[in-house]
Amino acid sequence: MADDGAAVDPSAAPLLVAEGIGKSYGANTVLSGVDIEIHDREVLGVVGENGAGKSTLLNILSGVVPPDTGRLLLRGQEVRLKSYRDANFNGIFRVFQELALVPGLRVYENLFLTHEKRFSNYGFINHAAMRRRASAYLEEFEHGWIDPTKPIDSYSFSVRQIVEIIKAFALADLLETPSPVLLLDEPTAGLLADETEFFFRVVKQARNKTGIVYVGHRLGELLDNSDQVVVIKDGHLVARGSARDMTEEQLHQVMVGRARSEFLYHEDRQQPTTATTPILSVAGLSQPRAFSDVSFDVRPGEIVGIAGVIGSGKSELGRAIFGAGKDVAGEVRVGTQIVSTISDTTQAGMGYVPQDRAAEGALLPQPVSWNISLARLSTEGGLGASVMDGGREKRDADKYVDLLKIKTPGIQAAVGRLSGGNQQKVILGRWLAAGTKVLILDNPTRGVDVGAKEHIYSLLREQVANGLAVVLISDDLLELIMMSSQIHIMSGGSVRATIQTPPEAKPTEVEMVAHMV
Amino acid sequence: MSSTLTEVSPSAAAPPVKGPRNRPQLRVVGPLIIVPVLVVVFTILNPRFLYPENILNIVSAASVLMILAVAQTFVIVMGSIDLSVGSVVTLTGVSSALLLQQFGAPGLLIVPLIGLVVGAINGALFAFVKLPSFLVTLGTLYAFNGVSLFISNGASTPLAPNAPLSGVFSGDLLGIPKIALWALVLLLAAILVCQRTRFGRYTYVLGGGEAVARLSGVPVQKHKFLVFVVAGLLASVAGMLLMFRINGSGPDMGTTFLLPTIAAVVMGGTPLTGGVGGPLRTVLGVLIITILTNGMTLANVHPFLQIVIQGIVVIAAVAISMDRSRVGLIK
Repeated sequence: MADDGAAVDPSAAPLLVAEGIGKSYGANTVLSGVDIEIHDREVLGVVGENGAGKSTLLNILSGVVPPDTGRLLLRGQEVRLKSYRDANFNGIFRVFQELALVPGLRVYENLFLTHEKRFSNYGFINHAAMRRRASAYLEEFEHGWIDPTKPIDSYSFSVRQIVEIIKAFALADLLETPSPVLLLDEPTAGLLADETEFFFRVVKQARNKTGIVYVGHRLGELLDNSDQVVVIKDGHLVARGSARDMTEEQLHQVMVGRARSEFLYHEDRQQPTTATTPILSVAGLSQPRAFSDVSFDVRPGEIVGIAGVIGSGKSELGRAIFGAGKDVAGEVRVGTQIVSTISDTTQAGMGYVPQDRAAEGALLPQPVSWNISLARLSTEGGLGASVMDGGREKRDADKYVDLLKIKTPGIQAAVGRLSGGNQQKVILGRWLAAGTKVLILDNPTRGVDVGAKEHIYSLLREQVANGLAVVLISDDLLELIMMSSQIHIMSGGSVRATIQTPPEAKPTEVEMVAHMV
Repeated sequence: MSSTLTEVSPSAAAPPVKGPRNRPQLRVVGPLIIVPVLVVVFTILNPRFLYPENILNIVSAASVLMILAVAQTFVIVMGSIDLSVGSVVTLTGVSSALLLQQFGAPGLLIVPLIGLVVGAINGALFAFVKLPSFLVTLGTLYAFNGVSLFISNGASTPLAPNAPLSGVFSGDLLGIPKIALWALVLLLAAILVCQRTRFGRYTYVLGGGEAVARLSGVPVQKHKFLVFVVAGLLASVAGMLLMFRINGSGPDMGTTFLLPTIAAVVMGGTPLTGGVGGPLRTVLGVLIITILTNGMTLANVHPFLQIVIQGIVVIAAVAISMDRSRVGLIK
């Protein structure tokens, strides 16, 4: 520890140190040169935008994925974590963002999963002892009402989240780790207000004997409950400081600071549309358990934003407009034409860029040129369309690689080899090549590096100036505010407010959030 | 910037990461190396391997497998599998012999129709009823075999000497077996379809990402259906040609083809996950399998041991070609 003694609080050696952590997936660098220190009896808050690399950092700290570069020092000793279970034995426990509980197993079985040996007699598991221990933990964390013998899936999402949290603490105790490290990945995302309160009580309780890493999106909550805060942006650790004398605004500014620049969003290029008749009309659109009675219009040459928290129904709305939703009622029109299936919408000139790029957006094993020509092929009519026009395909690919500044070894390269931002540009190129008039975008810049973001925004401005109509669905409020000329805010499946966002009068995020919750 | 929040300058940029797919893939290069290696090894073991009559023998033996493997290639490129190809060969082989016996040459016109119908059954269950292709074709494998047994009463039907159309489907043309020419024509047609038509492209695209295809306006269900119809049609032609090649039909004439068709596709370099590869690659797989069988026989390997070796070769080929990052194998 002597080698970097200067950086360490002299009163206490850190529990866990991560040095120069880097991780890439293919050409996509997710983390690069990240250094953090976790001290005993301290909460380290980690903030960053979607796709900044926070979850990857936790995956590395908890042994789920190995880092490409850098090392972990646990109580001064270098460790290589082979798995999450291995991390457990080293005193590292995690509350997973997506519930890591096994449906079908009982609550107590889930609490002690992979650690049953602690309860075994001559190779047989002593279930009674496991149940007693589980009850004791549930009592200790003031949730004695949860029946440890019930299957985990008989409880609601938020109860399962509570069990997940208790599990991390219980395992730490069970394995008799003197000062464990707890990793909390957006633990309050699925919790109601009073459960959130419970959660922070548990955190305060645990803070007396653990070191905690807390990844969160709700900045206020995070500041209230952390000692130190670090900010991760595009895979780099860009700022660190003490939470005590820091405000939410300051934190936010660092987190998305460069985003406020006109350079990124090209606000100066936002023009009021001259068109009067809408190209897209959504009337009384409803989908069971997703959203109800949504109506709005989009004119050529404008970007209409859809805001809302996860679960507000905004993503489902995008799919439904495109004809990809089930049991959708209501009417969608492109121009005067009523459309209801993907075949209708694509033929009428609508395009859709889904949120999940890898699964639904890009043909990863296949060439850039195929990815770009796909929508043109499927929307082209006539007998001639059944024969491939290789020359046209190549020309289109060259054109859009050039126009969108797609960084690729060639138009024959598999899209899976490109970075996230370039993959997204290929998908945008697909719709432009098909002559799309209405484009529905669901989180188009998630996991996209800042350079590619800027290109994507610039491209959208350009296309919109040429008459493209865009529905922009996003979790990124700033992106919505800066890009859109009008934003519909959804909450609980309906449009709660509509805000005009002309270039000269952009609302603040705080104003938006007020309508979202 | 606030005094409490210190900006950290990013550390030196990480060295550029090497793309994981930059080196030539074993999947692509492997088959190109294996074929000449097999030829050299078997020639050393028995020089008769390279005699012209043996080479024609190999070509002739490869023909039926080639057509079936092309049918299987379409299905596998799409990311699905057809376990019923062998049973369609039996069904159409048995039907060809019986139809020829009953109605003469015009009777054979019904054979491709049988192929279309069985393909449509597979395709409809897979695409519209949305059952996994693995299970659909496992079921129809049994059902089609049962139909063959039923219509033939389990008996063999010999081809009458000088049966009509024998001259079209068997014998030689300029020293080349006509069956091989038929296989070549179908192969070239398949390559053309794969590389130059929208039908071919959709087949690849479904293998590359079904959800992507659907959200890009590709009529996914219709296309899945059509691919199985094409596979059924090709298998029916293979069944008819096999009947002419072996001078009649038997109730198990297609049974042995299932594993070799899948093996040929995979060994050629089309992974079971679909999306890449194609009929041209399958040629190599067919050659490997046929050369292996022929060469082992010439080298006096015990016939039962040959089966063991074939099984091992298939597993090795799959191990080499499968992209393990794309699990959730067969749709």
